[in-house]
Amino acid sequence: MTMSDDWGEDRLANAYAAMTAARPAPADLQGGTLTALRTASIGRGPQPPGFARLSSVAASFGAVAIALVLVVVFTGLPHNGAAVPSAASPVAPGGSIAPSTAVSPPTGSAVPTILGIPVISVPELIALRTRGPAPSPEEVAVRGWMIRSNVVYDCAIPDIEQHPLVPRCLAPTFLMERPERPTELTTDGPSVTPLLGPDSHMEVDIAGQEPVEVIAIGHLADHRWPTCQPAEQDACRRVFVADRIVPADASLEGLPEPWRIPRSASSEPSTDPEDVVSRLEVLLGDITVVFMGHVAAGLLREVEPAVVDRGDIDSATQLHPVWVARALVAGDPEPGVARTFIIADRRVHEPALPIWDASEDGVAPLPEREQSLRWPPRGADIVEMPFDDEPGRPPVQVAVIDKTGKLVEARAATSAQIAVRDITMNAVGIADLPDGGVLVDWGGSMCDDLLTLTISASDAGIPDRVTVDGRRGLPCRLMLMYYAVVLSFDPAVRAEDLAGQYLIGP
Amino acid sequence: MDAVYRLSFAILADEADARDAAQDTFVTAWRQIGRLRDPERFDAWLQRVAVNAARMTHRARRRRGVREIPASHVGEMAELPVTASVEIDARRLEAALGRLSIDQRSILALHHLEGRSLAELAEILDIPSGTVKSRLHTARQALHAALLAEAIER
Repeated sequence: MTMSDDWGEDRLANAYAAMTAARPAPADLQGGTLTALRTASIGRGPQPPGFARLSSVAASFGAVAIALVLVVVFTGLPHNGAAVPSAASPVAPGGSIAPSTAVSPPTGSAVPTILGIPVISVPELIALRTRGPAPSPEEVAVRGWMIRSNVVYDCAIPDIEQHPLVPRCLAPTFLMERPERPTELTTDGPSVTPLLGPDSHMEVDIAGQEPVEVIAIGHLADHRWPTCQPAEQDACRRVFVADRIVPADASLEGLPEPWRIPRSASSEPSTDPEDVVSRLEVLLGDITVVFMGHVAAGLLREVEPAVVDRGDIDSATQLHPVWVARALVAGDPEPGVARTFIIADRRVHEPALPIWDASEDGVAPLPEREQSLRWPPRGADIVEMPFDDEPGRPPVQVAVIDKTGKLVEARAATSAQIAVRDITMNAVGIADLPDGGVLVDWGGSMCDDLLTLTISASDAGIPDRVTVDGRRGLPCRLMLMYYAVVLSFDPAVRAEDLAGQYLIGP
Repeated sequence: MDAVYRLSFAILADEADARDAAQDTFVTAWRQIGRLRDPERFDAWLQRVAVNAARMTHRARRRRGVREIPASHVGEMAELPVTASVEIDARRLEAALGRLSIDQRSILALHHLEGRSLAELAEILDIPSGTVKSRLHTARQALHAALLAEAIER
C-alpha cells in the first residue's frame, strides 16, 4: 500500500473532523445522563454502571435539599385575577401605561383609552400631524368612520424603489370624522388616509358601500421615515400608520391574530406568539402588544427597509423567519411611544438570536442593558434554592409568574410524583397527579440558575400554557439538570388542557 | 453535549471511554460551575474540564487493563479501499492516536479538531505558552511517527 504521508494542517484537520463525524455521540447519551442523574438524586431504583460519581454528587445534596428537583414553595401566590389583561385593565400584568400628554381631552371628562392608548378624534389627529416641524411618534387611537374608496385613477409607477411608507397606486382608504361616501379623492369633512400596510391588523370589514365606525390605533413619525427618499421624508413623517383597526365598540383582550407575510404563507411558525411575548416581557417587563406578525425568511426587507444596512441581521433574517412585534413598554422613559421588535422564529432547541430593535436609528440588537436580565421579573414570586454543599455557588432562583390568578400553590415534586412520567428532553412535560395538581417537569441546562416559569391564560382566562424560560443563565445549553414542580390550581386544571414550552439558549 | 463527546472521543479514541468521559465532564462542570467567573469563556473552561475527565477515564481504563472495541469497528481496517480519501485518513489517524500519550492526544485534538490557538491552549491546559509550543511540536512529531508506523504495519 502506498499513501502520501505529507500530513499538513488541513489534511490533519479534515481527518480529525471525519474521524469524529464517523463516531457521533450515542443517541442515548443525553437522556441517559439526565435519567441517571435524576435516579441518583432522588435515591430510588438501581443505578446503572458508569454513574458512580453521579450518585456521590447527588448524595452530597442531602435528603431534603435535592438540587435537581426544585423545591418551590410559595405561600403568597395571589388568588385573584389581577394579572389577567382585559379591556378594563388593558396593560400587561402589574403595569400601567400613562395616557399621552400630547392629546388634550375635553375639559372635565375622563380620558377615553383603548389598550391604554388615548382615543382622539380625526381633527385632533390632523392637528397632531401638522403641528410643528415634526409630529410626535406617540401611539394614538383615532375614532372615526372608515371606508375604502372605489375611485379609479391613473397611476404612473415612479422609477424608484418601493417604500412601505410610500405606497404607490393604491385607492385611498379614508378615516373620516363623519360618515361619508366620498366619490372623489377628497371628503367634505375632516379626514385622513391612514397607511394600511401588510403589517396592519384589519379587524373590521370596510369593503362595503357604507362607512364603518372604527378606532384606528396607529402613530405618526413612523421609525422608518429616515429610509424614505430625501424629498419624501417630511411626508413620510406625517403619514398616519395604522397598526390596528378595530370596531368602535371593541373590547380588546389577548393578542391580535398575527398577520402573515406573505399572506398566503402555508408553513406554521416554529414558536407561538404567546412565547414571543413572554420572552419580551422577561427582558423588558410589562408590554402591551399593538401589533404582531410573522414574516417569512427573506421578506423582512419589505416592512423594515433599514435591515439592508445591517448585513448581519439581513443575513440572519434571510435564513430565518421572524416575528415582528410592536409594543408599548411600561418601563420606557416614553411609555406612550411604541417600539418595534424583531425576534427570530427559531425552534426551542436552536440557539436564540438577539432581539432586534427597529428605530429611527435603524435596526440593531436590543441594547445590552435590555438584553441582560431584568431580575426579578415584575409580578413574580421568587424562590431561592441554595446549594448546601457548595457555599460559593449561587443559588438557583425560580420566578413564578401566574397570569391566570388561579394558581394556589407551587411545590416540590416528591419521588413518587416524579415517577409518573419519563423525562422529555427539550420540552416541558405535564402530567396529572393522582392526588391532584399537575406535575410540570423538564430537562434543563446545568447553567439555569435563574428561571422564569410563566403560567398563561387562554382568552377565556383558563390556564393553558406553562413557559419555562432558562435563557437568563450563562450561554450554556448543556442538558443535565432535571427540574420538577407540582402546580395546584383552583379550580383544578387537567394536564391535557395545559401546554408547555422550555426556552433554552442564551 | 455532542461537542464534549467529540472532543472526548478525539482524545480517547474509544466510544465507551468517550461516553464515560463526557458524562463525567458534565457532572464535574455542574459541580464547579460556580467557579466560572467569565461566562464568555465557558467553552474554553468546559474543554478544560473535558480534557481532565478524559485523562481520568484513561487512567482508570489503563488500570483495569481493559479496552473495549466497538463491534462496528471490527474488520473495518481490512476492508478499506486503497484510495487516498479523507475517510481513510480518519481511520489512519484514529489508529495512530492509540500510540500517543493522553497528553499528546489532548493537545492535538484541541488544536486540530477544536481549532484552539496557542494562547487558548495555554489557558485550557494551564501551562505557559512556550510550553504549549514545544508540546504541540513534540505531539505532531509523535503523530507523524505513529502514522508512518501504522502505514508500514498494514
